[in-house]
Amino acid sequence: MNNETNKQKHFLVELQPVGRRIQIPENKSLLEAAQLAGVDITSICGGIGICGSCKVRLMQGELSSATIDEQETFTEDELHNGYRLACQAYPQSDVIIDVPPESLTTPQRLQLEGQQADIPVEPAIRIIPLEIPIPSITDLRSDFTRLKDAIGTTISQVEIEYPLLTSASPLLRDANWNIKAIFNQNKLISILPNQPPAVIAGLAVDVGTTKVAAYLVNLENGDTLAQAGMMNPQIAFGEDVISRISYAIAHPEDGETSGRKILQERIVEGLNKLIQTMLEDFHQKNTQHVEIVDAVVVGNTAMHHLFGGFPVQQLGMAPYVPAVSEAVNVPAREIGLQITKGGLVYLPPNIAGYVGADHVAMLLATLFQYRKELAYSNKTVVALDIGTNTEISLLHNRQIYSCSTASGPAFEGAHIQFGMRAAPGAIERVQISKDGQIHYKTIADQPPVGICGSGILDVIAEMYYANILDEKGMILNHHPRVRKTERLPEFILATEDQTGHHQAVVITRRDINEIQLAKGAIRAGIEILLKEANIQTQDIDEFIVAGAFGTYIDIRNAMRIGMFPTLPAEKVHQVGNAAGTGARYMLLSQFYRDLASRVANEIHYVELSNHPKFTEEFSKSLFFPKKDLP
Amino acid sequence: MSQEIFAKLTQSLVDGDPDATFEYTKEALAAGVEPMEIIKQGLIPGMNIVGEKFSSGEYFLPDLIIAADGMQKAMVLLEPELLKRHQAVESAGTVILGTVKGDIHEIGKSLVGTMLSANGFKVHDLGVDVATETFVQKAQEMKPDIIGLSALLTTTMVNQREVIKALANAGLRDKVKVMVGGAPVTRSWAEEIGADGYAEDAMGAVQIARTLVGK
Repeated sequence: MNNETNKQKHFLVELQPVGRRIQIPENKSLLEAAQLAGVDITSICGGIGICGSCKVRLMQGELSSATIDEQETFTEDELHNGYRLACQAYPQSDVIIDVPPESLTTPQRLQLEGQQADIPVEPAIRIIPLEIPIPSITDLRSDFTRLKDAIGTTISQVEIEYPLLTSASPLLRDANWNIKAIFNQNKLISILPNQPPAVIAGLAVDVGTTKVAAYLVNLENGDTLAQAGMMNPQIAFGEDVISRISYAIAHPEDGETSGRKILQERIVEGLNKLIQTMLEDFHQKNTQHVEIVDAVVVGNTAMHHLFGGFPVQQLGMAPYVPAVSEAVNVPAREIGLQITKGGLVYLPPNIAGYVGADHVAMLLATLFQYRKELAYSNKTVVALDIGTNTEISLLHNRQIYSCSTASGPAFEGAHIQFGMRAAPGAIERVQISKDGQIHYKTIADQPPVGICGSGILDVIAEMYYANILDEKGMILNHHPRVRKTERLPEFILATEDQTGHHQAVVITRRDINEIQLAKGAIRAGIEILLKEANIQTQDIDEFIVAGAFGTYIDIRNAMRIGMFPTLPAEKVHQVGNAAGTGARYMLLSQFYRDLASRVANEIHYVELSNHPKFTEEFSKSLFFPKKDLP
Repeated sequence: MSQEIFAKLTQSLVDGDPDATFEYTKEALAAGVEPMEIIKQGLIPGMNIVGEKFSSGEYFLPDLIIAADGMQKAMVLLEPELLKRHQAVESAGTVILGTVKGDIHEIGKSLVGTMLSANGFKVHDLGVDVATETFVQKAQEMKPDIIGLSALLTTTMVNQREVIKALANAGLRDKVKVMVGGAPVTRSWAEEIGADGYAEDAMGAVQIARTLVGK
């Protein structure tokens, strides 16, 4: 014990709700503790106490007393309630610290990560263990008669998928006639030996125009076993939905060279690779065989059609009708998806040409499960997923109104001079402090090379609130970082000596214009749905922002530029990939599949492109609103 | 008095305040100002300033859309008054305008229409998703100087070519100039399909239209 006196004291810091714990020496700040623990707390100013972005709250234990910077950042009430800046506070004992979502650079993606689905496991498939009498000279029934007899009345009118007829006989013998029979409705789709037990799994996929997310889910207990993501391999044929449809139209021939066929093959190949990746992941820690017996694939209507092999030409022309809007089961072997031989891929219903099954999945995960009720909520809820097309739904009086608005690719970095996707070196957070200093944070803390969607949103809101922009989006000349060019002034976000490529990262009037058009389209969509339901902004009880981009944005800045209506922070929820979660629900529960059909049927679809109020609402939403937010 | 209200009208368009444009128009009519004068001395100068600022790169699409919205709000009040007086705006030429079949994008096409009107053209806006035959039929009826075809999708711009072909088949091709535009439309596409003019934006469209009618 005496030796201990030379040593530094150590404290245990527990970071919640992330659930990470770390031992640190007493001279380390909470910010350093979080960095050591791999919890990415935002620190725009680099830990010198001026940006206020590393806000945390002391739940238990003792910290060093509040510094002057902290006294300036927080009100007395906030200080009294334990609010601190992580970079300024040093533990004086073991502590428990609450890290609010806005202080995390990578906000907790509650529904994207391997969260277990907390719904009853009642999958569409049925698993029936069977001990089948062995053939003998006194029992000459065929293998399948024997199998059917063993099933008895458990399933009526058993049908056997063709691939099983061709392969099951050796399988039954290898399993010593002791099997699990897997059914989808009355169709026998897979036969597995009872011993050694295989993991019976399902595949849930969200096919986005840009990104694809896949989940491998245990169908007996609901656990997510593995997940994997990739860029959509169809990107090579066009960045957006319309250009892929154009590709399919331009290559109409049948067979090998059919554009539709090629696009379908690309996405299926990609999914097969994801399946392999997830199986390899799982087998790093586990030797059990995994049999994927079911799959749910969601996507926007065009992605859905290209995956399922449905015609897309009519999606590229007004009135943009889907070829298929009902839920369908596609045999996996028909499209080459590598799951169990007789497996069926469930594609949930689409709502309209530009509101697809992914939006239905998102609604299932937000309007229902979000509050663990299996009925429409009584509340008034706006739920949206921002992308090149932003789908928006409004739930009010147990009615759902949905629309799609053309917000364009600006938030993915397209049409922005220094725009880029969210990758290392992208500026993802920006703050301009009261003294005019510019602070930013890049992904992976690399020297800045460009700016991604959340950063563009931040910089425009911050420029506007720092009076560098006027309400029309014009750059004013009175900030030291505004430089004149031949035509228009531009704003230097990162100087030549700061960036990774030694050229200044600038924001131009043209960039701002792109964001004005994008946010105007989103806001106009929201306003028109509110009008359709005959309600006002203040009637909104909850505002749910789903999708990858929506997870990373600063909601307050989205309100400051008028992309979202101004609402109290507690009404807004960033829920991550809710479409992926909805897909998992439909994998785990027949109930959710039934619900999907009901929801898709009952939705009031609102077409915006010829809506009499659209131009007016859009034009109203283009400029920036009054500065009424802190 | 009139000069003051004209200046206010002009400024409201430049400032992008459609509600103010609407109110000043109302005010001017109530004060007995002739609708034609409101247009000529209040609105058109405003739209021209906005157009110049757009061309010079100072203004952007949102400014143009908002100014056009103001202009249209004012015209809602002015058009019935003009009709009462049996007056028509002096015309620099007649333009038939529409978004082609299969495409329901409104804003860009309407913006071109507003800018053309503000510059003295008589514009017949056929709307969106306009059938190829409708363009031909209207061309026969109205004998316009120019037909303007808008398309915002790569999947629908092919219908610009269809309209040009149909005009040729109806023997109208040498009687009317065709201009095309829209986000995916390029100069080389315009040349490929045999259009007479192409413009990148609404102000460019005014320039092209002037050239096509030789004014």
